[in-house]
Amino acid sequence: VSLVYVYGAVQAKGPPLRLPPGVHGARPVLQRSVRGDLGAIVSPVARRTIHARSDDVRAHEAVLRAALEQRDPVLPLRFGTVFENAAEVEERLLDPGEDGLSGLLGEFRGLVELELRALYPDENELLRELVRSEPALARLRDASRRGGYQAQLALGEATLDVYRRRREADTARLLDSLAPLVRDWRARESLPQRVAAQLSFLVERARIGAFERAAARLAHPGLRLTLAGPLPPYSFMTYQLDRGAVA
Amino acid sequence: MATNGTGVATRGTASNYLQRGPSPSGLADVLDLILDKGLVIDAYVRVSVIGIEVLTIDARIVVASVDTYLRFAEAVNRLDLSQTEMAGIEELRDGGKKEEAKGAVEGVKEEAKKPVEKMKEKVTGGRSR
Repeated sequence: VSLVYVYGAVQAKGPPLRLPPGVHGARPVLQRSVRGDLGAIVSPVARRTIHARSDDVRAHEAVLRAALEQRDPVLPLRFGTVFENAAEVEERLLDPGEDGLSGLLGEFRGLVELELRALYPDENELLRELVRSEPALARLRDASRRGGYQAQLALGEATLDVYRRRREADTARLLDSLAPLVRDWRARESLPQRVAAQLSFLVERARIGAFERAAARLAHPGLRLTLAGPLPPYSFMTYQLDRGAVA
Repeated sequence: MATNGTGVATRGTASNYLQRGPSPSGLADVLDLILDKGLVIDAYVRVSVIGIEVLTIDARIVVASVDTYLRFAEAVNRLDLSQTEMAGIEELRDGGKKEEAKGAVEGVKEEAKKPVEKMKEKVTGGRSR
């Protein structure tokens, strides 16, 4: 059985795509729409269910990133999208026309995603700062050293609360400077330890430089920033193309 | 060919505190992007998320719970408040060294047993024009 794994969609016009190996090591190619205007980046796959193995996850991302260097825009499909055959890719993805894929491609022309992560490099230093700046926290700390379990809980809860507010303040400061430079943004709310903010920005290619410079000005010893991209606009694909497909 | 998501380099002189790379460096960050995002063609996505990858994502999330409170309380109690900005100096010396996500509060990995559905992230966003 040869099923078709789809990475993303692009305009068909342009020089031949040169892409790295894809999911299960297969070579990704461009499947052109019958009308010739659109293209899906595809590779053969033997199974309908794709395991989120590290190699394949990274391959999916690398294929789309390579495509983004050669085409504009690149619309990423969710990892694990598999069609029965090439005809189905045409019918369900490429054919729907103006209100479907080609409309989306128009909407995202010239736009890429930048991923920004803000990190507190030293958590102890941050906690020290919080205790110093919040007298209530210092009092709870003294109380917990004398008291028992409840006092510990109270201290922990208050600390997490102050920590959260600090994150919000830092995130707001980042957005104040960066949001005016972009088309759209998303902020993740469930964050790992030491991460102050994790933000996705939809940016015009021409403004990447300005964005980088602004981000560099916001970083400091207490708040390290990591900026990744340009990437396909993963975080802004809030659409669901459903052509009445029967699974 | 593009690099495989591992290269994060420090670039430019504008700030030593901004690391710049072509793609997210960690597997968890890549998963974050491609597993839950991207265009969905209904009924065509069948992903089985198994093994280490699930642990990687779940381990990243800090959940407000009694455990978390106690770990934070312990970390705050352990602090030496007389200590000054040594950390800043260490950071300067390190330059653009890659960060490891390891904080004073340990045990985040305990959250790793939760199924992947539980960590559906909340997202806020805005449009500026």
